[in-house]
Amino acid sequence: MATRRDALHWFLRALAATGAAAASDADARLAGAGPPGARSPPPSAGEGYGRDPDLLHPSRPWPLRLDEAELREAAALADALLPADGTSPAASALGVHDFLNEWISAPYPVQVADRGLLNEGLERFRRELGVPRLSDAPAERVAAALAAAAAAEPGSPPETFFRRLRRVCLIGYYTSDVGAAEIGWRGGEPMASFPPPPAEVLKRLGLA
Amino acid sequence: MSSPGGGDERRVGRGGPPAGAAEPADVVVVGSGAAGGMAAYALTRAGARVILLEAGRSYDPLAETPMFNRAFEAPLRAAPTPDKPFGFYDATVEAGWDLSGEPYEARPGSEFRWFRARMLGGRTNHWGRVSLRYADHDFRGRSADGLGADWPFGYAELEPYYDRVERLIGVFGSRDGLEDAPDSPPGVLLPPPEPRAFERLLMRGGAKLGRPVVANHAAVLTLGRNGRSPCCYATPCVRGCSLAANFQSTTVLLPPALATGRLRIRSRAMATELDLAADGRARGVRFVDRLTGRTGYVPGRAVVVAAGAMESVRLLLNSRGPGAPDGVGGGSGWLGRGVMDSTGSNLWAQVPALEDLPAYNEEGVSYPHVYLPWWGLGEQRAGRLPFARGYHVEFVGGRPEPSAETFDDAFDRALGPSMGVGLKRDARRYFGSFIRLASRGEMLARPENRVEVSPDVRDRWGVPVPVFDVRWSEQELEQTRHAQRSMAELVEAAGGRVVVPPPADPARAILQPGAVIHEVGGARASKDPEAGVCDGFGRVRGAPNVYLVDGAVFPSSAHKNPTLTILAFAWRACEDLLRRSRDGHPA
Repeated sequence: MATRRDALHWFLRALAATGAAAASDADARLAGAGPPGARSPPPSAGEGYGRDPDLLHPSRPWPLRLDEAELREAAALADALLPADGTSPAASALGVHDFLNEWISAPYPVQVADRGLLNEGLERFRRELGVPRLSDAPAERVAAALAAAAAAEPGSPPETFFRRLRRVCLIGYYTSDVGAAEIGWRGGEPMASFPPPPAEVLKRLGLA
Repeated sequence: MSSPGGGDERRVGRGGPPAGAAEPADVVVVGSGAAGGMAAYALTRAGARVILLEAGRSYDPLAETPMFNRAFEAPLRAAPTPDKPFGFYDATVEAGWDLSGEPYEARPGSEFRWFRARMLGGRTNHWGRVSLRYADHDFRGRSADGLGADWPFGYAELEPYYDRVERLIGVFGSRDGLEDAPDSPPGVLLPPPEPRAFERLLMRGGAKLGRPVVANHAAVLTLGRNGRSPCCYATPCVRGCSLAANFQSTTVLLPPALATGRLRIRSRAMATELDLAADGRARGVRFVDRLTGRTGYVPGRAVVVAAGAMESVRLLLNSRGPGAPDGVGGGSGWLGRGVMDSTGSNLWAQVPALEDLPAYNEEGVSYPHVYLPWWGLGEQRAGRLPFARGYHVEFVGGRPEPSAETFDDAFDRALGPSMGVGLKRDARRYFGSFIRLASRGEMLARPENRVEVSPDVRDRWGVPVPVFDVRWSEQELEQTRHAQRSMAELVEAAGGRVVVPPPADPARAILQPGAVIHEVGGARASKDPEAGVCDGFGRVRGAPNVYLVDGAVFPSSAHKNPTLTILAFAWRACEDLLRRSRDGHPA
């Protein structure tokens, strides 16, 4: 009968023989519960990033769909929603139109639905403004068309288009470094202890 | 391959271990989450040799956690997708409501959502860290009001284990003297972090209503412990933690277990059935390698089942032998019965006083610093409420890093038709002024809420899948109606306004069964052998060397998040297993 030690050595060799770094799975290391096991194979292109993407080196595996002309139109829309103001740049300066491209190119159901909305919305606006491309129209007319869509019947196609477009542009703008600081986020700074709110805040809230 | 010990996997008949199998481990543990990790810890440190089977891949938070990564570095700015339902950076592997090749079903007319993660440490890697003790009345509900079932023990029996678990894993909180929330002994809980501005408003509002909003109890270190660093108040716990500052089985339970030299972990090993001898005892565990599909076998003198409540019940149902025609522990008829999840409902509020605050760091431990314990025990006992069991309320607010989730329906409604320069002004104005209130309540145990295994639908390895039939009753709907109303009262008392109109019908406000991901029951512990699957130590009836130690054993599901009680139960159960082994019962 094999000894216990022989048995365990056999076990580890047998696991190594399965390949796929499985041998490391049974390896007992003190630093943690062992080294990370082999990732599940990534999905084929067009299927999203899969259930086990590399979180430390993220990548976007799907091809981008908007062409140059459509990107310019996306920038026109994004800049109408989030123009430059006294303290922060316009949306296109922060790549919000590129983010919109990433979003509507993704293969997940929410993003696929938004792709449809964007295509319909662009067509509708081109017709309304009588231009082949939104980027051909003056910025004020694009803004006026968007404002009209915002004021349309709740749940109607123009109003739905406006709300979805605005939401994606807000995400793209305010998750950027510049945008996050602009909206009032302070964080990501390791600290030894967590302080109470500043005195001026407590006073303003009547909690001092 | 994969037999630890030699030879291939020729079997001696269907029911036998492979020829040439190794000397059995003392204990085979199935699962590496809260219960399995605790079992590995308790057993190895007492001298037992353990082989642990984990269905998912090995996972190391110290190496893999994307601690300081920003949203803009991730696809879709880390927005949730079907591949990562709680966000790109969530500490999950192969997790979600629908796993490819691993279906489950619900009976027509019922819905059940089943969240699984396939990774070492299971759901302890990304859970909410809320750690609340059951009170004695939670263990003895039936004795109080005739509903559901009592546990086969009370608070006095589990209290020492609550103390031990809190000391081991590190839980912050305060001693509040509230009947629904038993206090830990002095010096056990770590100091809670300072409440954020919105939380102070809730505390003041709660005080006005006579409903104390107190410090949350969460498994996050605010002081160093056992070589682990305290929280640095800078990254979301849901990503896991490279400092080991929060509780994950992978950083708190498995490393000391491995350090004994008595633990071997076999990952990617999905247990498919227990191998049973004619007398009902388990001889080992069959598993399938999730990567290669090849089957394997681990012999053991005892088996601890800790695969996560529904997976454990499924495993027991799928393990049949001559003495166990209805599955291991199936003799009483209670296997699969009494499935529960916490009730849950949301209310979205906005507080004008929190608009346009100066920018400052509000991140804290990323999870809530306060919560509202159940204050209605007196009213319930006096029969003044149309529901028998309580709920607590959790709060999400403040200003974490902007993400896809920041611009939700509530924010959208507050913005109205805003666009242009005004939109930028409004975004700055409203950011941080929203609070999502979330009720978490007790669902009564009912035998008709059950899980079975399908006679014809199988997973990709040929193993029968669960079929759920779990439905809310009037109890849970009335509780939810009350919760929606009381949360709105608290919002008003805190100076806020409800911003997403809540549904009038509580059936539309209550989340689906399974959606809170506190599913428990299905193999309840009982005093009377005819009334449950296992005894108060999880020892399965008819299979005296099989212990079930995860949430499957719960006879009732109090509103307190189950993990702390699972950890305490598992530790106590393993000590019974060890006692019996030492007494000469090869448990």
